[in-house]
Amino acid sequence: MKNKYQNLTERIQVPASLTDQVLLAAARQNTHTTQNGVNSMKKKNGSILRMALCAAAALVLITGAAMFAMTRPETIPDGLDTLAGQSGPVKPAQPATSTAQVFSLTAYAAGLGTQYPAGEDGSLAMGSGSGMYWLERDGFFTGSLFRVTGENIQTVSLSLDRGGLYSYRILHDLTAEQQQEIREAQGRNELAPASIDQDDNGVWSFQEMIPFENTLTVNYDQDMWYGLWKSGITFEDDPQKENQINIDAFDGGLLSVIVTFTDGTEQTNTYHLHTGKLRTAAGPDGSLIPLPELAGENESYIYGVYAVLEQ
Amino acid sequence: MAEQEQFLRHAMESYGGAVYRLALCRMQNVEDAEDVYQDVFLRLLSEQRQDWKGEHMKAWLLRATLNRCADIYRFRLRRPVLALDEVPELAGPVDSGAAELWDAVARLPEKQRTVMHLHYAEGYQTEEIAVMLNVPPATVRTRLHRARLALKNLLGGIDDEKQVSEPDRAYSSARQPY
Repeated sequence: MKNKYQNLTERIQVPASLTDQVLLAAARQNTHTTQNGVNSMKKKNGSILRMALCAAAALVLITGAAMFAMTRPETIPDGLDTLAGQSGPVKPAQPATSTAQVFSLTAYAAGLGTQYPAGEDGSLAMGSGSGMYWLERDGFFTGSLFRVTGENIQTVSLSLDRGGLYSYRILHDLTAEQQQEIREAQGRNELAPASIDQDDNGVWSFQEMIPFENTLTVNYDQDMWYGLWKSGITFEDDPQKENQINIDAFDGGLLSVIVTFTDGTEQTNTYHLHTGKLRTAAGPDGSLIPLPELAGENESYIYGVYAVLEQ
Repeated sequence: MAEQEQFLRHAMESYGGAVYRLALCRMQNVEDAEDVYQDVFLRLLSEQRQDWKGEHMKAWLLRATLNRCADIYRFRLRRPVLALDEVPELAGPVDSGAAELWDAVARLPEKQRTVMHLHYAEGYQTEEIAVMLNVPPATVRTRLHRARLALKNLLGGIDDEKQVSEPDRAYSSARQPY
C-alpha cells in the first residue's frame, strides 16, 4: 500500500506535449550532430571559449549582431582569438592621452533596464537581487550590471583584480525555433541555463549571460551590459546570508576600464569596489533603487556593490 | 534514428514520471521542471550505454535530474512555492489534504525536500539516497528526521512519520531506524 505523499505525487503526470518536445529536440540534435560530423553531446563545459563562440554563432541568428570578444587565456587556442564576423583580434589601441573624449559607467538593474543614479563623484551603486543567478556549474552572476557610455568609443577593456566578469543582454521576440536553439545550446552546456521567459503579451525573451575570467576586451556595443561574476558558489540555508557572502567576494576589488576612441585616443578609469548595505531611493515605478553610499542604521537598504571612481 | 526514438520513448514511458515529479518537487516551477526533464533525457542519449539493467537507468536519471536542478538553482529572496492546483496534467481533483501536504513538503528546505521526495515518493532507502546524493547515510537520516519534524509543525498534529507513510510496507522494512 502506498503512502499519502506517494499517492499524491503519482497523480502528477508528464504533459504529453513534453514527450513530443523531447523527441523533437533529440531528432534535431541528431541531425545537427550528423551534419557537423561531431558528437556535440560529448562536449564538456570546460571550454568557455567554445561556449561563447557557439553562443555567438547561434545567437547571431537572433540578433544579427553578436559582436563581442572575450579573454580567457587558458582556454583560447591559437588562432581562435577572433570573433565571428570580425576580421581580426580585438586589441586596444596604442595608449594616447584623450583630452576631448570621455566615457562613464552607468549602473542598471538586470532584467528591468532601470538605470541607477550615479553619485556626483562618478561613483556607482550596483545593486543585487534583480537578475541574480546562482548556477552550480557556471557560478554566481551578481546581477550587478553596468554599461559603458560615451561618444565615439571603439573598444572597451575591462579588468577586475578578483572574481570575474560576464556579459549580459536580453534577446527579445524569440521564435519557437530560436528558443529551441537556446535549449539545445543549454543542453550541450554551451549557454548558461537562464530561463526563457514569456511576458503578458506572449513575447518570449532570454537573458544571455556569458562569463569570463577577470579580463575582457571587446568592440564597443552600446547595448551590452557587463556584470560582476565569480566561479563557485557558497551555499547557505539562508538566502540572504548566501547573497551577502558571495557579494562580499568583490569587496576591496579594483575594476579598471580602458576605452579607446575612434580617433585612437584612450582613457582609463579605475573604480574601487566596496560592498555593504546601500542606501536606497524610490525609483520611478515605486521600487527601491540603490544609491552609491552606505545606509544609516535603521534605514532601508539593498545589499550590493558600489564603485568609487579613483580621482 | 528509429532505434534512438524507441529507446527514448521507452525511457520516458518507464521513468519520465519519476524525473518530472522530482524536478517539479525540487524546482517548484513547471517551466523549470520541463527544462530539466528535456535536458536529462537528451543527456541520456549521450550516455550511449548498452548495459542499462533494472533500476540503474532510473537511478542515473534521478541523479542527472538532481544535478540539472542544482545547475539551474535560482536565487530568490523568497522562493515561490508551486501550488498543487497549478500543476498541469494532475489526475483527479485536488482535495484540501493533498494540497496541504504538497504545500508543506514544498516549503521544506531543498535538501530535506529532496530526500523526503526520494524516500516517500520513489521508495528509495536511506543508503540508496546516500549514494545518489553522494552524502553519508547518516546525513540522509538526519535530513529525513528534520523533514518529518518540520512537517509535523507545518501540518500541525502529526506526531510521527506514519501520517505520511503509513501503512507502507516498503518503508517499515528499511534497515535503518528513522
